[in-house]
Amino acid sequence: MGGQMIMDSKKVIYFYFIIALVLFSLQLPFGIYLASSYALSYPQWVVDLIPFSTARAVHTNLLVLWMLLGFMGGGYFIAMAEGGLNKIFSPFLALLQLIILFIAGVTGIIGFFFGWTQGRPLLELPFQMDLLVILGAVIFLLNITATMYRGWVQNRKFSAISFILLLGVIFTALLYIPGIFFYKNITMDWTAWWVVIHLWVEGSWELIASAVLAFLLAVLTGVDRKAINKWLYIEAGLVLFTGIVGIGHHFYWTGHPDYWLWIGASFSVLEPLPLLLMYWDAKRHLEHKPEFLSSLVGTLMFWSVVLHFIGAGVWGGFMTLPFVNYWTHGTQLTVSHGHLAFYGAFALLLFAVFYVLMSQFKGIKNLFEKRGVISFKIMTGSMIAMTLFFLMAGTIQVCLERIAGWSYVEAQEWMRWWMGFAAIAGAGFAAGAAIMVYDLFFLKEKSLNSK
Amino acid sequence: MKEKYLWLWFILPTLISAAVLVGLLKHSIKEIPIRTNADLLTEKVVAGKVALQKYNCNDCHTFFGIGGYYAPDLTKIYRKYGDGGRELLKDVILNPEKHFTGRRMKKFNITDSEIEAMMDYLRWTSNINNNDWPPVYSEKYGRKGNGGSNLLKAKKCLLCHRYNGEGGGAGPALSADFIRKSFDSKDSLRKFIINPQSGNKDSLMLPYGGAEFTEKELDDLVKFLWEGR
Ligand code: HEM
Ligand code: HEM
Ligand SMILES: [Fe+2]
Repeated sequence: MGGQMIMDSKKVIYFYFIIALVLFSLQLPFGIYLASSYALSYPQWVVDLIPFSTARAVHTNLLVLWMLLGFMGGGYFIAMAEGGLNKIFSPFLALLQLIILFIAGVTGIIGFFFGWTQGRPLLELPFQMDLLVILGAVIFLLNITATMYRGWVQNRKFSAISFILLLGVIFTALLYIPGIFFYKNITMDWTAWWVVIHLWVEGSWELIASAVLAFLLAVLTGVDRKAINKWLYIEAGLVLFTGIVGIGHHFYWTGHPDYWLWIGASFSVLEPLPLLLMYWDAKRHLEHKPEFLSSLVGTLMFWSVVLHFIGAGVWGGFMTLPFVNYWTHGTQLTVSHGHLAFYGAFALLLFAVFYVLMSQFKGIKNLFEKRGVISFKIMTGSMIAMTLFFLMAGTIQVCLERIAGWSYVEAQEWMRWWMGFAAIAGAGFAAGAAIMVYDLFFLKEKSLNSK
Repeated sequence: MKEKYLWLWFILPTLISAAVLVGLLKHSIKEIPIRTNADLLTEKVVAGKVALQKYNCNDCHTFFGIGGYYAPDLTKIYRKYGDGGRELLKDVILNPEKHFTGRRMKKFNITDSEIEAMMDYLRWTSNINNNDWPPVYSEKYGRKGNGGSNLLKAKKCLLCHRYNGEGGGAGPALSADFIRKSFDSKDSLRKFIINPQSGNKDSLMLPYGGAEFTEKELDDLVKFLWEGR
């Protein structure tokens, strides 16, 4: 089949990024629609046509899909580079896998509009599509493992970064499995659901992210590998030590025994610690090469670790305390945390990967950064504003609905304005994102006369 | 530490944490059937869960606080209506456009057997022991504010009347404004509640009879309605 077809690994990885960026762009209008539904009361026919539920499923599934594709593309590159190779094991399989995952995701998302759904938040993808996803994941695992293996056999190269990355992708794939089944008992259902969602974002994705971060630091700042490896192991170990039992912070109110209140809390309040280390360590390495720190990619990486720590560590660490969570659980405060954490931890890091690799693939030596910097500023400013607006709405919700005991609907009346502001900030975010996506599609060399 | 052994810094904490989680989960999962009354999970109840997933209710509403935050948590919603309010709850789900005028809910084509199964399912979830959450239905924190709005619920007034955006549409909404226009004194309001037909022969309201209330409850309720808080 593809045997004699000569496919360039870099080109295939480039396709991953292009598709990830398209899906990212599509995610945003749905977010704006969601936030605006809180601010305005849409008429019945609009709600019947695109209910909030459908829009939310689309918004979140597109998010997961583009991020996974971004990590896969980046993962292939890292496996290749860390193995001292100039080709992944099979570019053809990588392309096939991209097509399979794209079809599964897009069919699933279009299906949501026609009520084809499993009806569980974030994991709405119907069983048939789940099987396609698993097929794609298996191809990916085989292909990336074979690439790393080849690097080992040919060049005796298998780094700490490859090791953590490989574990991260294997866990991500395995953890998907409990989420595809139907559970009769809702408590068991949420237990399986959190095994997927929590152990992803606070476990396996965190491994992938720390490997990607370590890789970028190693190749871009020229810091000694030994220092990078040491911190990578310690951070990843701490992330999993605190994060695995930390899943208990989702068992407080779902029908599990009450010992989770203190066990889950004890472990998960420590979760910010590795994130703080990651920030501190990345900052030190970035400062090692000041001219890089002030470049576009350096800025993206710096703000990624900052917002990762604040959004996930500080926001999450606060809500994980049982006596706080009792009142804040399932409010707009959760939304505020989710957005800042995802944006800082994964979105900004992936943007850095896109800029580094896409400009390298195009052979650009001295990147024209102005558009990138502007888009970064707009997106990050808007995202921070948006999470602050969600925070205001959430605080009102907690005070009125949870503490004062008002009815749900009455409390929502008082949150309208803040949700409206969040929608406006979301529009700003989308504008910034449009500039970035355009810029990434048409990267160019800094010319001599443009400064 | 030698570089060669650095990976132990990663693998050991991970294995310890994973072992702790597996051990705890094993125990915890054994407790779930008791805490959730799993013996009551009949096929019909499970059919309710299937139907709720079919219409993707969970992406607007939350269960146990998880899901979309666009609409109220449904875990214990059945407690608000009770068996006596089952028909009303069904109507809310089947004909949302009649009940919600502000933020709206999609009108689905839910079948008769599905809606019955949903009711049984919601009745089941409302009795799960989940460490006393959400606060509104909490035994410890309860619905705060005044005892009056608790009474409106407890005595099923809200099956027909609306208060604070909750309740049915068969009777008039119970604003203080409406109450004071309709009654000349607290005393006549009090008499009316015990026996609506005494003051107005044509009233369709159910006679509660004195036996339904303690004196204190009746005092609280009248004061609450008269003052609107
Ligand atoms: C990159 C890391 C993280 C991401 C992307 C993330 C994302 C999210 C998301 C999306 C939710 C909402 C899930 C839902 O109910 O639909 C959530 C909930 C939660 N997260 Fe995180 N999170 C991260 C890290 C953390 C950390 C480090 C902590 C604790 C120290 C934490 C604590 C919590 C808690 C307690 C909740 C439940 C909130 C509630 O009760 O409603 N998270 N997270
Ligand atoms: C145009 C910008 C955006 C707007 C206006 C927006 C708005 C929203 C709204 C209103 C929700 C529904 C929350 C609910 O159920 O009440 C939501 C969910 C979510 N969005 Fe966004 N969003 C935007 C961009 C993003 C981005 C860039 C990310 C990731 C980096 C993201 C990640 C999420 C996640 C993880 C959820 C589920 C949250 C949870 O379960 O707590 N969104 N978004
Ligand atoms: Fe979590």
